[in-house]
Amino acid sequence: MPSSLQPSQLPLTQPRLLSTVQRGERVQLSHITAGRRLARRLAELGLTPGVTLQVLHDNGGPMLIAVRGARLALGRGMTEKILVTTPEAQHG
Amino acid sequence: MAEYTIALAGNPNTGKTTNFNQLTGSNQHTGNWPGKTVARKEGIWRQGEDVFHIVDLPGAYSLSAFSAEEIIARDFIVENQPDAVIVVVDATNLERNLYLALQILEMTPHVVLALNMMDAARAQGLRIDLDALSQRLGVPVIPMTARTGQGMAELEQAMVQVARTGHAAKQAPATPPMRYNQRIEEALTQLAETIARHPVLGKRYRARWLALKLLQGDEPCIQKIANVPETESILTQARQQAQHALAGTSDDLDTHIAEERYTWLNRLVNDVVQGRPQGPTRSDRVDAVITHPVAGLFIFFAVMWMVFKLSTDVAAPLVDWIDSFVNDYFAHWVHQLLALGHLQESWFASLVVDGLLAGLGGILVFVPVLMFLYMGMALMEDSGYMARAAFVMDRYMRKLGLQGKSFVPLVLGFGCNVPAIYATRTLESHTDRILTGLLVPFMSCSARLPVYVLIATIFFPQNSTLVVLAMYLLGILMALIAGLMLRKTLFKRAEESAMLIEVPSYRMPTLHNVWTEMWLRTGAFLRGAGAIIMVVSMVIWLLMAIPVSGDGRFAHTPVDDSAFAHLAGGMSPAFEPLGFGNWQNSSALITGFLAKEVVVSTLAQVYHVAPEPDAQRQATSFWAQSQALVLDLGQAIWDTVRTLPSLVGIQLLPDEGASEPEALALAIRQRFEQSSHGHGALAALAFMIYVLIYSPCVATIAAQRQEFGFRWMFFSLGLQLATGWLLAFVVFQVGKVLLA
Repeated sequence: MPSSLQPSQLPLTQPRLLSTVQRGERVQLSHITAGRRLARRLAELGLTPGVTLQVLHDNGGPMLIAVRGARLALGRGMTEKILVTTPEAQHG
Repeated sequence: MAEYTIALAGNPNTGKTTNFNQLTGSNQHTGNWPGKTVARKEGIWRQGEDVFHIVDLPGAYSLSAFSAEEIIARDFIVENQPDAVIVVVDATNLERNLYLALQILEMTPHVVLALNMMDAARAQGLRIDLDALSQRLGVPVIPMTARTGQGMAELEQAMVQVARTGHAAKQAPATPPMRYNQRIEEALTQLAETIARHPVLGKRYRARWLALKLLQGDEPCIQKIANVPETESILTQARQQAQHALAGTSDDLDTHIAEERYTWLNRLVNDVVQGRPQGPTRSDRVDAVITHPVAGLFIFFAVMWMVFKLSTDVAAPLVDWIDSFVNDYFAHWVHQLLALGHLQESWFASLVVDGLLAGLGGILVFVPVLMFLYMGMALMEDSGYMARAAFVMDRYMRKLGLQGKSFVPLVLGFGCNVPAIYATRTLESHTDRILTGLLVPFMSCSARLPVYVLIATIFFPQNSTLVVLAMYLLGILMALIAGLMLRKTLFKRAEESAMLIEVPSYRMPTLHNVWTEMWLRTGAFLRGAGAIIMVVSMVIWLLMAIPVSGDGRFAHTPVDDSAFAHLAGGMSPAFEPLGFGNWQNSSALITGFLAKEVVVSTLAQVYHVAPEPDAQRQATSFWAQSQALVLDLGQAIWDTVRTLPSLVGIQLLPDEGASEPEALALAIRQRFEQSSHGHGALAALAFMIYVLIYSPCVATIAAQRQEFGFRWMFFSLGLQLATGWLLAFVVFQVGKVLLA
């Protein structure tokens, strides 16, 4: 578990790949396992640690997600580098 | 009178281009940014005596030097110091869009925020507190709807005001509305003080902005600074400060800064915007169908089919009209004109008619094709469909090492390779653009079809349709193989491109914008590729004019005796192992290099079975001919309109059955049997394969030069020539063994 997470964001579940998230599910971004360039790119598009995102459509690889009111299309190469957790609210 | 420079910045799909078109009308010109293949658009807006140069910066999500587009946009704002920057943002997507605005506010205080797409925001039920937004950001905020022109007057007014202030106070420090955490701010302040004291840097840059970039370790920035004398200590200080700023966290500074900006923006947007939609929007519901793995594919192919039809069948009557305009009407009158000076038999007449006019015709026939294609592209982009198409095709294109968006240029290549090359511009990554541009020529364009049809009906009368179809499939297969091989070799080290695009909400395209884009891009082709087509056309004319054998004079020599025939003859040994090595076939391949449209007519010409020129058009008065020409144009436009229903499968125009003259068929059959020593059909197959691959045409090559530079142009040409030859060789030689 990365030490940089704030207590309020502490996940109850193990981080998993965004590519495994079901359509319609809301998850919280935990961290990104890509190189610095890509991680920074994703952060600038609003994919920063702790942000809530929802998978709108899954096209067998590429995904359409909603984040910060915008819609992003992410290729498979991206969804396999983004780790997410299920937020507490859904468990409590 | 004063001159001002205004930069127009914004995310892709925010209506920035619409905004630019509204401001400048047709008063704009396009080119490339120096040394880059990124389009640069500039226009002029006037108020009284004052001239405002509006520069349309490339669309970018941020200004962190991630892509060529971002570097260009950033450098322009920092180095050229425009008097005002208009940041266009999508009012329905404020949190994401304001990120760029926030970055620009760190670079210059002279900013106007154009809050575009207010109509869509209102329709969604968003209520935006404009005064609060303006106050929090510290810049004027103008609500507007660029597609209808609403709010343009207010934007112009604000632009003038800010530009005047900006002009008077170029060096005024930026006043960013947000502060970072204490550690970062301390580091920033200290570094900025050092920079401000530096004799060069202090004058050239806004200290706080440069300090932030150096803290972030921004490579392009560091390189620029390193070239300035006495900056080593500043760079060292920056590295130390960066460590200090990060002490105690495991975060990356870039990510951390992005996070702080978004946190600030999230609070801002929550404060000033009421009624943000919580559930899926209407656009999301439409996307359930459009981006569906199965339905989405069908929709994609239907859309591509329509764009393809637009650029072929619908454009065809106009192409024919232009062809007859240049080659019959215009050529006829040039002849008459030359006759007045008793020049009609001179070499000069031949130069003008067979060289210049033929070249001009070769350029102009592309105009309708490109116009319709660009219309289709503009509709796809403006409606927001392009992003969906990329999404739907991504999983398939990934196998090729390309991303979904690359599919669009490749499909367009079936209509015409030239606009397909220009369509690679919609790809973000340089590698993707080049790789896609190298694969486009494998797509069999519509001009290659008549060659297959002619040859296939002569040699494979029973299976001609199948043979023609096989050519198309072979092209696709070759593109697949070439794509994979290039990915494994030349582009091995290039970053695997994964799709990462923002998907805009659907919106209605505007006629004004589609029209402007269509003309601008067609004009860019005429300027960019026109010269090369003209030069090649003149060279071929010259070769045909020079008599090498026989007793002809310059420009009055039978084609068999011309330098052209001898050159073609000199090339034919290269085609002997392929089974079609004679000078006539080589001639057709040389002119086919100019344009595939003329392969069939060249074959007819060199086999001496050319049809007599149309007698109808001769010897009528100027007036009667002009009348006929206008009537023909009317007919062509009417035919174009009548082909429109064919987009959805309704055929109004009768198919004109192509009937090849018997004499030509006979001659071709005989010569192919001869050159292949009795394997005519096999040689014909090899010929078709060679025509498919060897090189699309000089216009495509010119387009490649314009988009990717000379190096890649030659590489592509070599790739086509080599693979075409090898494949035709293998087919002919292996076929011979198998049939023996």
